[in-house]
Amino acid sequence: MKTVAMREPTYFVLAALFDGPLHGYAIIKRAEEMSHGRVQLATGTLYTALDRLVGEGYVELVSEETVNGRPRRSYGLTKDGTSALQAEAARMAEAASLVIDHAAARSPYVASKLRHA
Amino acid sequence: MERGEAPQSRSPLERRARVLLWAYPYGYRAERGAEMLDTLIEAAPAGRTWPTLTDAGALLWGGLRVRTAQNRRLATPTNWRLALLLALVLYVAPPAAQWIGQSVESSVGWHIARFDPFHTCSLCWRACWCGVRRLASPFSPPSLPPPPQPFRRSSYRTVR
Repeated sequence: MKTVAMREPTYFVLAALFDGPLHGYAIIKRAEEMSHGRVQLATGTLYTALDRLVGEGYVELVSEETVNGRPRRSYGLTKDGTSALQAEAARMAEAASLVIDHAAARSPYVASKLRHA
Repeated sequence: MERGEAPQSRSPLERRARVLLWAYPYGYRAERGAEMLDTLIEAAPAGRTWPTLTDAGALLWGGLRVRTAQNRRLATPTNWRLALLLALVLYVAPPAAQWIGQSVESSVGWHIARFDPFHTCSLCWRACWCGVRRLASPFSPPSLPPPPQPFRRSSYRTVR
């Protein structure tokens, strides 16, 4: 399994495909929705990420149709992609739990820091 | 990209996005260009006539990446030799251009002084570049493993 942390666009591209295959624009929209507008993928970034993910075997071409005379291709997660995404999510959850679940988060020191912030 | 398409159906945004897609190599554009264009136009808010700066940057960067990946078809030693040759040429070209410009000037008189260094320089560059390509060709190994084909049956790395 990869130990290097995924970059955020990569993570959100994979997460967008978690519910099923999507085409380019739908991935951009879904990623934006999921991140509450924070991750706004540019077209070039998306396709660079897709190229790489397809090369790594995390994403595959699922279907192709023609809309307005242009090919519209849908991409979906592979089995490897799903497990990589889940591994990454677990890694981040573990990292997040250091702060969120830690007793220090409820300590008077942290509370005082937050009050003065 | 499709050449037979009616040009009047293209919006300004589409025309400009198409220009940006030139950042990608021909084969890749032929394979993915229309799809990327579709995504870009759909993602742009209605009424936009220029791609956003982010989009433009991402396309240029993406094109550069694909081109670099393509160049990795050459073996690393070959790339090093090419780089060395190019560095030599870069080092030699400007003085050579100056020397040629000066000698032309002194032999023909001041009327030809319009034979400006830039022009001479560009001619020189062109000649040197041809030389580099000629020199580099024997270095390229006779057979290379076929490049990976991420997307489609037909490779986007095909050379026109």
